[in-house]
Amino acid sequence: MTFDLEHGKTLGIVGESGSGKSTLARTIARLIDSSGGSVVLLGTPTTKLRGRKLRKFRVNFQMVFQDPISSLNPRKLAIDVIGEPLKVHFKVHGEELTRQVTDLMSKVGLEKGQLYRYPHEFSGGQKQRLGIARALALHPKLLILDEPTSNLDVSVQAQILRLLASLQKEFDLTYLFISHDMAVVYHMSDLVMVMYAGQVVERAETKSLYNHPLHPYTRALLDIAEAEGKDLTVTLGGEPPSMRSLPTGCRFHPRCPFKVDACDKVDPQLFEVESGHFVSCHVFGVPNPPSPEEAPHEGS
Amino acid sequence: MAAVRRSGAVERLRVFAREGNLTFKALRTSKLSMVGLIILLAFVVIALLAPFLAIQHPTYVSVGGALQQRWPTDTNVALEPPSLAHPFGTDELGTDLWSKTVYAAQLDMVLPFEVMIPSALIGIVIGGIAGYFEKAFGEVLMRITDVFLAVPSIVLALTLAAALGPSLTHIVYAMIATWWAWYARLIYGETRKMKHRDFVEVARSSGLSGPSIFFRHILSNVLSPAIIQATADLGSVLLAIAALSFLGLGASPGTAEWGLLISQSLSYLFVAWWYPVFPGIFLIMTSLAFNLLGDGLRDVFDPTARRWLSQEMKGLPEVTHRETPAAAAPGTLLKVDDLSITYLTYEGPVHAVRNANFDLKAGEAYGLIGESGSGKSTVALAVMGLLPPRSTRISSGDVFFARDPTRATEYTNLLLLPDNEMNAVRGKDIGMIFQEVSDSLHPSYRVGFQMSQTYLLHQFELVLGIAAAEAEGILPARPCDACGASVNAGEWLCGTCRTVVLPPKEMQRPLGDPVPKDVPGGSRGQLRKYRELYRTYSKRKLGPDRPPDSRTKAICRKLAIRDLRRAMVPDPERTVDLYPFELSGGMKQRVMIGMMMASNPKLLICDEPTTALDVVTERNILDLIKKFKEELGVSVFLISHDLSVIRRFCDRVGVIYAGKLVEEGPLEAVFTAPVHPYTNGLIKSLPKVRADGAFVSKGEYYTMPGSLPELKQIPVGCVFAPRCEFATEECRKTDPPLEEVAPARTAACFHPLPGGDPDGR
Repeated sequence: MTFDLEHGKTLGIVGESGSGKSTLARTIARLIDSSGGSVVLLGTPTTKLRGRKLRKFRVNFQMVFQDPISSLNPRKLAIDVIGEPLKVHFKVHGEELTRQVTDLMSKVGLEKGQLYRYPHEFSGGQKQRLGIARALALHPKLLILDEPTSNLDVSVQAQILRLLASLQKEFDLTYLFISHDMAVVYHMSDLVMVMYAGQVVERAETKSLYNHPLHPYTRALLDIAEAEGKDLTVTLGGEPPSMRSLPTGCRFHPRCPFKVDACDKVDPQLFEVESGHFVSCHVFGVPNPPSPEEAPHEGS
Repeated sequence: MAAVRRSGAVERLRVFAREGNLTFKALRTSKLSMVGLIILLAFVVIALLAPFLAIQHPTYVSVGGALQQRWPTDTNVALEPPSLAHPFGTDELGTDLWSKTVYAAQLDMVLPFEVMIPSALIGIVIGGIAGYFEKAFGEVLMRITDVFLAVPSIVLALTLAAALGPSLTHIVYAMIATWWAWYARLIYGETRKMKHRDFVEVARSSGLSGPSIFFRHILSNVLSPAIIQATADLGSVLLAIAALSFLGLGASPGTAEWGLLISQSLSYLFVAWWYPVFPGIFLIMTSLAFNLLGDGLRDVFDPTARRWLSQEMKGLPEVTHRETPAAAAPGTLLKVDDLSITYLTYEGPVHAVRNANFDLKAGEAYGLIGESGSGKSTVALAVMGLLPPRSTRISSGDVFFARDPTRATEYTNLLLLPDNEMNAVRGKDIGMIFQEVSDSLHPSYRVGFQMSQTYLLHQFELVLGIAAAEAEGILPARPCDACGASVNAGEWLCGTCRTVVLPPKEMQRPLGDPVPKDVPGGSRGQLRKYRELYRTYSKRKLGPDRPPDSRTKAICRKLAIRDLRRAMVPDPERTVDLYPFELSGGMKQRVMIGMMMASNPKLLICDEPTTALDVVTERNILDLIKKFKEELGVSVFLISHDLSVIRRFCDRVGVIYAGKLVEEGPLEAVFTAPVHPYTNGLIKSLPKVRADGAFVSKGEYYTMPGSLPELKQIPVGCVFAPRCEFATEECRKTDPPLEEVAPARTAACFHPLPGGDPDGR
């Protein structure tokens, strides 16, 4: 896959578990190695960095994890959780460290009185705030947010989303925002990329993608997000394929209601349907794609 | 500025003291470990006070550079039984055994530590390094460790003693040489587990180097299992040292050491029973005390688990449960009446649920909306009787359930049911589906086998009925009772509607009847055997662990396939033979639902049934539950924090906040025009793509300030008041009761929103 992300923007990545979105995040965060290709950040190919150079360069990109509980060391106090990267990279110690950590905590909406608390003494939302404060400590350029709100409650999710949006402005951050929730991604992103079984099936600017989603999978996801309890127009059966035994042709074809002959034979390529709107689909990823009503249906 | 630094140190000290205090509190409630600790302290005191307690005292002489004990001897009083002068008797040289046993405590309380501390340190370093650098280097280290594990310490000590001469020091060396490997193994495993935890990844991504990740994040987390294990092992080390001394490999003869004393007593066993008994008791007591303490520490050392450890509850009034509800609306299946639940923690009681009231009608789907910590799952667990008994109390209220649909006004109070009857209710009358799909199924049994357990437990009469009918050959061609389609001879499952079709009543001979001469389709022996089986199992009222034979097995399998098909599992004939790990999350949840629906329960409790699943799968699972509700009329009690999940098919919803039910009403009414400010805030917090057909602008969703309160005290006034923009003085003083605000709608609020949202937020 190939994509560019401009400074100060947010790229939203949507997909179900196993679609490869977390793998992508971890590859960009250099927690796992890529098997090919490269990631270039601020003109530096990060995929080529090793050892000490990589550790130094890590101040430029930080990651916030999905599970606020397991991503915090249970035996570290809040001040150590947030202060650790400062100690390691900037050699900040003593009262200066306390000052900076207190500052970061107030930025993410935590109180000074919570400096000397263990993670288990914080609520789920506060734990995620701790994780965000830690990631911010190094003043990174890029923040990789891997489902930062999926383990949180509705009211807490809204608070964290609001916080992330305001931090982005304040610190001039670039976000890679990963989620399975179309509505959340809508509010957070400038660009959206929909992934299925390790591939990008659709990529466009947020407005364009939500206005006329083209790939059947994107449609199904959007349909669910907007259903509000009502019946769906298209129900997807089945489940995403295992990455060990991928179907031939288009990876989505076994579940696709609009399948045509070519689908199980040829893997569709990303096609620019209109400016900036890419779709990989034999039926809708073509010039002047048909509307879903006139598209050839399975069995017709 | 120095003050700031000092305050940091003071704060840390304070945290340390608080944690220590909590640890001690936890330790104190674990009775066995307290016994262990007290015994050990007693021995420490004995060891320290030995010079004062003892009657005789050793002198020390240097033999070849090493100090040796010499005891006063008096052959006139050799092998005297216990008396006032010699409470533990005397040995063959007339030395006072009380003095020797007491002095031995000095040696025997220290020796285990001399072995354990170096062993644990070496083990932690080697195991940690090997675990962290898994590749070739770690591999080599672990294979070396394995070599040491393979050498028995006795053999090594024998060799060392043979080479260097017997001495306690050599025993200690020999023991260290073998014991460290056990800790290396333990730490190796723990480190490897820790290495892939999220917080280690976080540390890596913030640019920490390998060694600092290991020392800062992994070591502190693997240390406590090592300490716990080491404490429990001290007893074994003590026994091993005693055993080696017993073999004459350790302390020089004449030294006061329990093992050696026992060994020396052997020759006089039949004339001086007291000689081995007292050192033996001391030895066993110490070793036992170490074990008890080690076991206790296991429960205490984890700062996260400690929060929910149980403690005896004081000051909570006894609750008297009622047999029948005061009043129940007709058609009520489940009535939760004034239910309050308290969790017991070390930091005091937590009032998780307070005075919850709601009804669930037969055939209805009731959704309980609440955020984590609101008490919604606690309510569900209380209904199922699955609350952990030692750490929870039902502090008021009842749970009534109409078990018999034909006598709908007769209610059973589930809280009064004894365990065995509750077991019959669970799974048969009430099914439950949990969030953790992968934990709900046993990993090492096939799907079909696990499902057959349900049939044998809850539908045993049906299975045996089918088996007997098959064996008796009384399955003629007949129409299906349910749908009227024709069922072939020999079949008991309708091919069309898949209900079980038993033989016509007149053909089912009573079990007491004499065995007929002609058994069509089977032998008389077979029939006798089946009647026998049926009688045995129906007497036991419980199915066996396994299907008793191939026939019942086949019946269970057929039923399992039927139920998997009902739960819309693709290819049920294949799935029935798969292990849970071969299924996806959504498929596992389908299996669970199929299994729960197998006994046609009246109520299905779903606690966050789709939270662990993807959106598309979630949708499909919800549609499946909806299908069961609509087609089979099962009532559903759906619990979720996810409004869209609740919205899919519930008829009525309740909103629970901080343990209190704040609003209740028909689904659409509550969603479109919420009355309680919390419900309103919750609904508005959910990000939306479109409202009334038009795109909402980016960032347009409501943010409710604040967070859920802690429930250590029963809150004064409305529990939502601190977060509520409409709160007045009255709200902060008085708790609003749940009252009717509109027909069929209730809310607990002094300032209910008129028809929902006043400011069009």
